[in-house]
Amino acid sequence: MSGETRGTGGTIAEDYTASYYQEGHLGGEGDYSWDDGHWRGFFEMAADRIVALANPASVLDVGAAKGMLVQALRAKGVDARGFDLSDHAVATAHPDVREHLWVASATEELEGTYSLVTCIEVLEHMAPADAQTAIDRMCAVTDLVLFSSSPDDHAEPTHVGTRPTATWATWFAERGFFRRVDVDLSFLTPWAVLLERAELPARALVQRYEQQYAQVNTELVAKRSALLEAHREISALQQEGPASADLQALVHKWEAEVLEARHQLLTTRDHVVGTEAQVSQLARENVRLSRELVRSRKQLATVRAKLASARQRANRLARRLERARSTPALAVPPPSVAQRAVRRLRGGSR
Amino acid sequence: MTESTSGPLFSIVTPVYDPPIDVLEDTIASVLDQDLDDWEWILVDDLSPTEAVRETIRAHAARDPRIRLHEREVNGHIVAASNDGLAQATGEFLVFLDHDDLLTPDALSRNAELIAEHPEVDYLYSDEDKVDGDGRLYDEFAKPAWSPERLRGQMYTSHLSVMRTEVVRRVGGFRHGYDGSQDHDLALRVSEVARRVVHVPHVLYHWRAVVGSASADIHAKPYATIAGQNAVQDHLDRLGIPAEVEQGPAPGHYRVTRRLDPSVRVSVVIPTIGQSALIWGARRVMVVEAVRSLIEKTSHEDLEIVVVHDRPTPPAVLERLREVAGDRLVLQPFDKPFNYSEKMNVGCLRASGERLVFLNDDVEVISEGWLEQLVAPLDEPDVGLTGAMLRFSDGSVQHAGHAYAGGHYLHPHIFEPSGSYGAFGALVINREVSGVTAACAAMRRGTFLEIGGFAEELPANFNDVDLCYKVRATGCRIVWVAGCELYHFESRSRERMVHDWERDLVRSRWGVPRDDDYTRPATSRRSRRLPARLALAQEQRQPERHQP
Repeated sequence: MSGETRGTGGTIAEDYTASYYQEGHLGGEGDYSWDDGHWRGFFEMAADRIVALANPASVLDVGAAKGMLVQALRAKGVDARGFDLSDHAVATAHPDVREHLWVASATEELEGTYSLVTCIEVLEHMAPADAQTAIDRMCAVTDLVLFSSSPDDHAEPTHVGTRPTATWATWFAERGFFRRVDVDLSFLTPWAVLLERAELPARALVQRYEQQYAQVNTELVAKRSALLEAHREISALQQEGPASADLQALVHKWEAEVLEARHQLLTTRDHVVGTEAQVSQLARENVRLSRELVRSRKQLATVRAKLASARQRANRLARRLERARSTPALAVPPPSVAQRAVRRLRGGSR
Repeated sequence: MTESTSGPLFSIVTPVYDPPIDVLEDTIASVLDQDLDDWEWILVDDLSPTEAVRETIRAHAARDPRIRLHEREVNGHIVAASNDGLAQATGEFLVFLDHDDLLTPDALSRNAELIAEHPEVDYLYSDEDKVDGDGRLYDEFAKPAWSPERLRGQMYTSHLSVMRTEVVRRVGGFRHGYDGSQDHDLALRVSEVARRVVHVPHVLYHWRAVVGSASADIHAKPYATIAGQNAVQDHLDRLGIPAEVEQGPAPGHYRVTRRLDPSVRVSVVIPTIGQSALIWGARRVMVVEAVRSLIEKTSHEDLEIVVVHDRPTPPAVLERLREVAGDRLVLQPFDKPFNYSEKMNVGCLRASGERLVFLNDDVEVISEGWLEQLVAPLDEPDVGLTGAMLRFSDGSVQHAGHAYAGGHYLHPHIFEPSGSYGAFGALVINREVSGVTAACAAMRRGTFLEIGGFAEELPANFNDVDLCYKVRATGCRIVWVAGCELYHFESRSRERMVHDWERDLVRSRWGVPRDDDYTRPATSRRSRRLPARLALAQEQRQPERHQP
C-alpha cells in the first residue's frame, strides 16, 4: 500500500522499510504479514467480498505492499498480481505469492488488461502530479477500479497527498469512470468506492446520485426529529424538579432505614456473640460445679459410712450393756470395758 | 534421675568453644541432673585451644553413653558447629544449650509434658533468667504466649528453644552469614512452617552473664544485631509482607515499618460533642486538633474521616472540621443519649472504608505515618485488631496494651516515663497483647461486622475490653504497634465511674480474668538462687577464675 517517487513532495521506497510495517503505521494490529491471524483474516474476507461483488477473472493490485490481497484472491482462484514501490515489502512477502509481485512505481506504464484494478490506500502517499499519472495508468488497463484513499488521516507522515473522496471521484470521472452507488465497500474502509467505465448521460448520472442523496436525506430528517424528541424528553425530565426532590427525600429515607437495619443487625450480632460466650462460660462453670458435686457426694458417702459404723458399734455396746445389766449383779462390779467405752461415746459427761 | 518414659527422645546440641572447665562442668551437671532420661547430648568442639575441654567431655562420655563428643578439625564458628550437632542428632526434638548455661532439672520433662498434650507441636520455648557468678538468679523473662509479631522485634523465644528435628532439617538448619543471630533466623524460619508453637510458662534455663558473652552485653557483638536485622527482613520478604526492618533504639530490638497498600480505603471514625479544653496552656477544640494532626501525619491518600457528633456540637466546630478535612469529611449526626458504643457503631456503619480506625477526639497524633503503621498489620488475616502507644501530655505512658489478670482489666505500662524502653523492650517493639484501648485502634470492616461491633449494653466502660475478647474469640491476634504514637489528653487523676454491673457484664461473657496470656509476672519477687548442689559448684570455682 505504498506509492511513488518522482514528483516533488512524494514519498520514496526508503520510507517503507521494515520499521514502517512494524511500528503500527497500518493500525497497530500486530505483525503485518500473512502469518498474522488478524491481517490474513482481513484480506481473506476482503477477497471473498470482491469476488462476490465483481467476480473478476484477473486483478491487478496497485501498491500491493506484501501482496496479501493478491495472495487471498489467488487462493480463491483469481488470476491476481500486484506491484509496490517498496522493495522491502516485496522481498518480505510470503513465498507463495512472491512470484506474482514486482517492484515498480504506480507512475510507470502498465501492460495487459485486467477485469479489476485495486488501489487501496495508495495514492494519498503520492505527490499530486504523480497521483494523476497513476490514475491514467490504471484507467488504461481496466474498466473497473476498486479505489480507497484516506480522506482525513493527516497524522500518518507518509500521507503527503490526502484528498476528500469527492476529489478522487471527480478525477476518475474526468477519465470516464463513475461510482457504482449500488455497491457497499464499507467492509474495506468507510470511504472505498467502486468506479466503472461507463457512457453515462447526464440524466442517468443525476438519477444515480439523486437516489443516494434522497436516501441520505431521509435518514438525516428522521434522525433530526429523533434528536429533537430526545431533547424534549430530557428537558421535561429536568423540569420535574419537585418530583425529583421527592425522590431524593425518598432515597434519603431509605438510606436511613438501611443504616438502621444494619445497625440492628450489628447489635443482634453482638448479642449472639455475647450470648454464645455466656453459654460457654456457664458450661465451664457447670463442669466445675459438677466436679465439685461429685467430690462432695463422695465425701458425704464416706462420712455416712463412718456414721453408720459408729452407730453399729454403739448399738452393739448398748446391747452388751443391756445384757450386763440383766445378769444378776455381783458384789461390786468394776466398770467394764464396755461401760467405759459407752461413757466415752456419750461424751464422758458423767 | 528417674524412670524412663514413653515420650520423645531429646537431642541436646551444644557447640563448645573454650569454656572455663568448671563452667563446663556446671553445664554438664545440669544436664545429668535432668529428671527425665530420654536424651542424648551432642557436644561439638569447635577446635577449642584447650585440650582439657575435650578431655572433660570425653571423661563424661566414657561414663554415660548418651553423651557424645564431635571434634571439628577446623574452627567453623557457631553456625557450622551447630549444624554438625544437628546432623548427628537422632532424637525427635532438638534442644539448644550453650556451653556455659544451665538447664533446670525439669527442663526436659516440662517439654515432654507439653509435647504429650499437643502432639502437633513443632516448636516450644520457655522462660529464662540469668545467673551471676555467685549463683544468684535475676532478670527473669516471663515470656508471652506465642507472639509472631514480637519475634520480628526481638529474639524473645531464645532459651530454651526446643524444635522438632524433622522441621529444622526441612528448613535447612542454621544459615551461614547470620552468625550471632543464627538462632533468631532459625526461629523465624521454623515459625513460618510450624503447625503449632507452644510456650512453656516456666523458667527452664539459666543464662550465665559473663562479661563479653552475648547474654550480658549484646554491644560486645554488633555483627549479631546486623545479622538479626537481615534475618527479620528475610522473614518478612518470604511471607510477602511489604516492610522495612531497621535497628531499634536498643541492641537486639528491631523496628518493622510496613507499607500500606495505597488502594485500601481507610475510614477514621471519631465520636465527639465538640468540647474545648486547655492543653499545654492553650485553649483548643479537641476534635479539630485531632483531625488536623491526623491529616498532617498521614500520607495515605484514600482516607475518609467520619465524625459522629452529638446534637449540642457547636455548628462552628463542624464548619472548622470541613475546612480542615475538606471532602474527606463525613458528618454523621447522633441525637440519642450518650452511648459511646452506639455512637461508634453508627459511625462505623456509615464509613465506607475496608479498614476502620477508632479514634477518640481528645488525642493528637505524634508519629509520622501513624495510620499506615496502625492499619497495615491487618493485612495479615490472623491479626484482628491493632492498637497504639498513647501518652499523657507529659509524655509518660497512658496506654501500651491491656492485660486481663487477677480479676482486673489493667493498663500494665501506665505512668512509665517518656523514653522508657519498658521491661524486655516492651515499649519499643510491636507485640501481641490481650487487648488495646479503643481510643486509637484499627480493625478490618469484615471483623467488625462479624463480631457485632461495640456492645451497646456497655455505654461508657469496658466496651473496648469486650471488643478485644470478641476479637480474640475469633482466633485472631491483637497487635500493639509501638511506632504509632499519640497524645491522649485524658486526665492523669481522673476517677472513672465504674459500676459493678459493667464489670459483671464483661465477666458474665468472658469469665473472671486469671492470668494474662501476654503480660505475666515473674515467678517471685524474692531473690532466688540456684539449687544448693549447683550453687556450691559455683562458689568453689570462684578462686579458680582468677588463676592465670
